[in-house]
Amino acid sequence: MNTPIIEFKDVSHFFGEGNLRRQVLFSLTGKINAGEVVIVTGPSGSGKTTFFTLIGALRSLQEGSVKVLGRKLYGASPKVLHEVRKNIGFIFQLHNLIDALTARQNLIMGLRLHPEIKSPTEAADNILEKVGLGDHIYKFPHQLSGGQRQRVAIARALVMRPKVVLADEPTASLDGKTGRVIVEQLHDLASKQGTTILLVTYDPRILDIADRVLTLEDGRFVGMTTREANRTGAI
Amino acid sequence: MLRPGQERFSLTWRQLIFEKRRLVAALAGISFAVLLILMQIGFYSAMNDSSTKVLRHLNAQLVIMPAGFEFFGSNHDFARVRLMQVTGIAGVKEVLPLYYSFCSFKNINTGYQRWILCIGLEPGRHMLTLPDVIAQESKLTVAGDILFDKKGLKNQFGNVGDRFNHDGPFAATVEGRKVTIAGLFNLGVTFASFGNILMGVQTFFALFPNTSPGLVNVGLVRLKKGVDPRVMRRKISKVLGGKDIKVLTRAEFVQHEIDYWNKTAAIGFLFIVGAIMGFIIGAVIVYQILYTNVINHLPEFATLKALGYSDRFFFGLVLKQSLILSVLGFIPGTLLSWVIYRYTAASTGYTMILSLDKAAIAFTSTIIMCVLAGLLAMRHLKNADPADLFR
Repeated sequence: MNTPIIEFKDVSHFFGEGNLRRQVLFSLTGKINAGEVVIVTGPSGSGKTTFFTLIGALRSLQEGSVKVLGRKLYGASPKVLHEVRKNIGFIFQLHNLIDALTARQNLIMGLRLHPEIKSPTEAADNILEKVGLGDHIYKFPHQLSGGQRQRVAIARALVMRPKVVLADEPTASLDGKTGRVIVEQLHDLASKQGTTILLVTYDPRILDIADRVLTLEDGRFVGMTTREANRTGAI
Repeated sequence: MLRPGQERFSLTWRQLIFEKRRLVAALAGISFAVLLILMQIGFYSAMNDSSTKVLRHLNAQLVIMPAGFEFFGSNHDFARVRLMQVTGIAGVKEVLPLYYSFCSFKNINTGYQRWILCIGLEPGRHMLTLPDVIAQESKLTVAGDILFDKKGLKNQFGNVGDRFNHDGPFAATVEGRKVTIAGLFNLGVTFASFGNILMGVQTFFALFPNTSPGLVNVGLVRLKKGVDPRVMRRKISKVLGGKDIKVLTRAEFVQHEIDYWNKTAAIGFLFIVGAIMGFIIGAVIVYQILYTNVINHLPEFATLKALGYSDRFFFGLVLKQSLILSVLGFIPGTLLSWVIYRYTAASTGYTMILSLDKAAIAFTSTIIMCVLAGLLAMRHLKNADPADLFR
């Protein structure tokens, strides 16, 4: 249980050049174990999205080391980065589905990079069924509501059975109730697959699904609550 | 690899047809470019074709032209005596003088004087191998009878062809004198003139009393069988010497005419410029379309990158989309050009033929245009940085 899926050590990050150079992350260190659900929260501008992109191999590391699924990201070649991204299920703030493709085709697009999944169409239909979109597999994104689209995005992230899911503000564009349902769905499916989740959000209503909540402020971790503490309401 | 029953689809194609209006706009743009290119090539080749038609059909292996000769119709001549000197050279069968002059032709509908090119031939000597001229050559022996180029511009000369077909021979006025339109032949608008008339030398000198049969515009030299024209050309040049004339093979004479209109007068160049403009306009339109396509899809591309797709995939995608657009735009563009070619040919007298080589030039241009535009649009792909999704 305690094999780390993600390890990061002394991660610092800067934006801008010369006089405008500004540090946004300060020596962040930590790890996320297999099967864990971790939420990174904090006010806007705290650096949580930057942290997310560094862990997800979406942005080059400047300082420190990050190891995801056993691979070091610092100075990694584009090939290694592609490989790492392929094995992460991403969910973004805006669902970012492909407008010209149906729900099912959007999932198949992701599966094309995973030849180990032999029946992509069935795999896509199964997971769409599980997120409650069984009747919508042939619909295009513009024919779906915001919540339905985000569910397609969740299905797309989970369909290739990743070891880890990274989600950035998955509830930001949804109303409170829908957001809650979606996150619970994500949590359910992920735990059934044994998937690790790292979720970045400022939405306080979903914090209770986490095993651990890390609070980021001005680029530094200022607090950590575990599920036990969470349950007793001691945030 | 996929089991039967698996859904197959192409993102390239889906994305292309997803926004129908944009697709139609793109295809219209490309069609328009194809049309521009084909029309310019069409006019260019029609003008080259008709401008050299008489020259290509001169029934002689060698041609003697005066020094300084600019184009067929230019006001240059040389002494007929010089042509006669050639007769004595071994290998020469016979020589024939050809006369021409621009003259005024009275529009049969409006009565306005218009310039037309008159060509004077020795009747019965088959100086031109144009079938319709050979068939009617006997008519040229009659004084005052002329053949009219039915492809000459109607707005210049009136509906001579229609009237002839309806009424048969009728009177017209050339250089203020009465002549009879005794027949029609096919030539068309050239770089030099809007129309042409043919007549026997007898009629020619009756119309131009101030010109002398002793001054020839172009001399034709027919050779005996089995004699090499290139060898003869050198031989004749040597015998004649002097700086007043030049001996050319028929092919060289045709090339001289083409070079004059394309290089010296640079009129042909204008058509090439037009074709290049069409190419550039097309490239800009396609670039706009592909550029907006790439820009509008940046978040989608960034998402696909996050899923693990590499840059090569997107380059392939945009390249395939460019190629599909070029093929799909080429088809209606060519069909439309074909229609306009026919219309133009019917209404102006240009010989407009949408030949395979013209279509091939237009198709190659379209592909190059679209791929070029696609490559330019691809520069924006590097902006599809997954990290930018989180700004």
